[in-house]
Amino acid sequence: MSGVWRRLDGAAASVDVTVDGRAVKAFADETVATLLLRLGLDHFGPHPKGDAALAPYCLMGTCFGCLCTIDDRPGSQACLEPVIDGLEIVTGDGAPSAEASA
Amino acid sequence: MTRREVRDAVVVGAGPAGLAATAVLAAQGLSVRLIDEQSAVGGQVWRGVITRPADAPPLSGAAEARRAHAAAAASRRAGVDHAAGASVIDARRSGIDGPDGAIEMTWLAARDAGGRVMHDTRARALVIATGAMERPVLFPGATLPGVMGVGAVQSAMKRGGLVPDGPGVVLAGHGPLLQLTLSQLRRLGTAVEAVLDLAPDVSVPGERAALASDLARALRADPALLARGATLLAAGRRTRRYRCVHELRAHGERAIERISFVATGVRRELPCRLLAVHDGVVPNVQITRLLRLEHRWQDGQQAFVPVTDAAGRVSELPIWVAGDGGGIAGAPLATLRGRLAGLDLVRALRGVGASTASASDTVPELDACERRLHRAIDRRLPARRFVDRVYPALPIDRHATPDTIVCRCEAVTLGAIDAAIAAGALGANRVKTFTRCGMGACQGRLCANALTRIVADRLGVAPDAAGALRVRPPLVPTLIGDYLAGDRAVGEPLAGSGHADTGTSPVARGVA
Repeated sequence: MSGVWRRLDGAAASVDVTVDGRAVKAFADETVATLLLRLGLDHFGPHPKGDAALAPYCLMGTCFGCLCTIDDRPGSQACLEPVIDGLEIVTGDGAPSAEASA
Repeated sequence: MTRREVRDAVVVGAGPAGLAATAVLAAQGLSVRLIDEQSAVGGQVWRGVITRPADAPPLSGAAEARRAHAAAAASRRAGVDHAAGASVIDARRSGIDGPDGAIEMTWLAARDAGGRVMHDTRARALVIATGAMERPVLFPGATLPGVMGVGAVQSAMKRGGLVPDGPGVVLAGHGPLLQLTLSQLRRLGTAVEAVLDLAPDVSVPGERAALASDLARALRADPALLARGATLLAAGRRTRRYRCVHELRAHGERAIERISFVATGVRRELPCRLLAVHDGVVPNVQITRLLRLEHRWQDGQQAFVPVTDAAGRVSELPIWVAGDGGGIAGAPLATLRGRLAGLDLVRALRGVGASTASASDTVPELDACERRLHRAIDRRLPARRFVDRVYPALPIDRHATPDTIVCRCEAVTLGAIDAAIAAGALGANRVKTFTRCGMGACQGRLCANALTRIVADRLGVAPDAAGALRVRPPLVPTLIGDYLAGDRAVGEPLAGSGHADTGTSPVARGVA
């Protein structure tokens, strides 16, 4: 997937997180949402209604289109979550469904 | 464990208004709990000013950055309890209505503040400074990944240091924020493919004359602001622009790939990877609605605005609304409105059960602030009126088809809403019951404004009569475990608490 977003400055990415089990370096001033966008994801999970994608729209805490699982907490708003060392991010597409884990 | 605390005042929102109010309250010796959902102070307008790396290209002028840092420092110095990254779950008025009433806030602390722990704060007064959000724009394909608000582009730039990279970056809509974003992207080396002006051509007789006289008044009142606007518009002329666009559509299999639209009678198609749309901003009324405060529809802003007095106070209640959340007026006025709300709050609290001597201490400062605010309003309001007239809200269904999604969370279409209205849903809340519009994760934040306008339009009634979605706790999706982890039993209300309209416990309603 070719990303639409590019990072402006050349600061070193110094924060260690995992995205769907993969180790990723993040920038200290990023949120989980801008991290995922930078990695080329344009949505972070399936829409709860039907087979469309649930897509981030506002990036300011209003639309709830950026929900994903962060540190085992489902329904976390990625746009409000600063990256911190050790954060485990699971996007909806990578996460086992409720049925599968039951 | 639910942590309980008692404070003199709670301030919700750490943008210009919330920070200004907080600084006043703390300087007057009040204990303040500042709750903000962002991980750093600044709100939307000053977002990232504090957190961006020093070597990142500046997005705002040096003066603006200085103001942001000064506001943040003022609230830090005062030793305020700042809950950053916290979500307000519930707000309740407790006790009797009136100045002696108290406020109870339930909120979840941030993950990096020791875990998402539930807190209850009881306070004598509340300042709501929750700012603005973008007015919804409805068109087919708007829910595809790659369609975002212009505000999202702003947010990604300010917090995350990201810019969209061409090709296929298109802006659609109108307004000062769109022009600002266009000029910033250009400066940062992103080629914007095209700007689509989504508004109809308003060559109504008399409109031109009214516009000219508004412009003259705005020029006299705030020439600097208009000069900045003119510079932005001139810079934006270098980008291809389509006017009076209608039938905007976003197309793509699983994400946006292209857009189509009609301009000057010709149907066109453009490849597109990011479509950023904008139709101005409206107050975020989620908490004022939750508290069942009175709101009135403002035609100029096409939005509900909470009813307050000149200082931002809600009738006789210990509640103040400051900044754009109390009606859109912009960041410079938000600082003054926050300050005024803070001073008025201090005066009100000191007037209750305190000596009148201490109450009168703040009166001269309050009066001076009131005078300054009114002068600033007099100076800036003509420019705001002119901007509102140049960029009136788009007719809500201008680009919508029956298949167009109005409620993104529950995937409710305009057609489904029209069917509900035809079946007798004679108000926004009836449509909600029929269709689940506004009942998803965002709790109607994004669609409430659109739904009111659709219902008013279809029924031919005033938006006040069409009504607004009722807001209920929890304000954000909350895990049962967050409540169960509390130190009170499920179903047990806080002493003396309860919503005026139901009287049931927040816990029971949160779980239901």
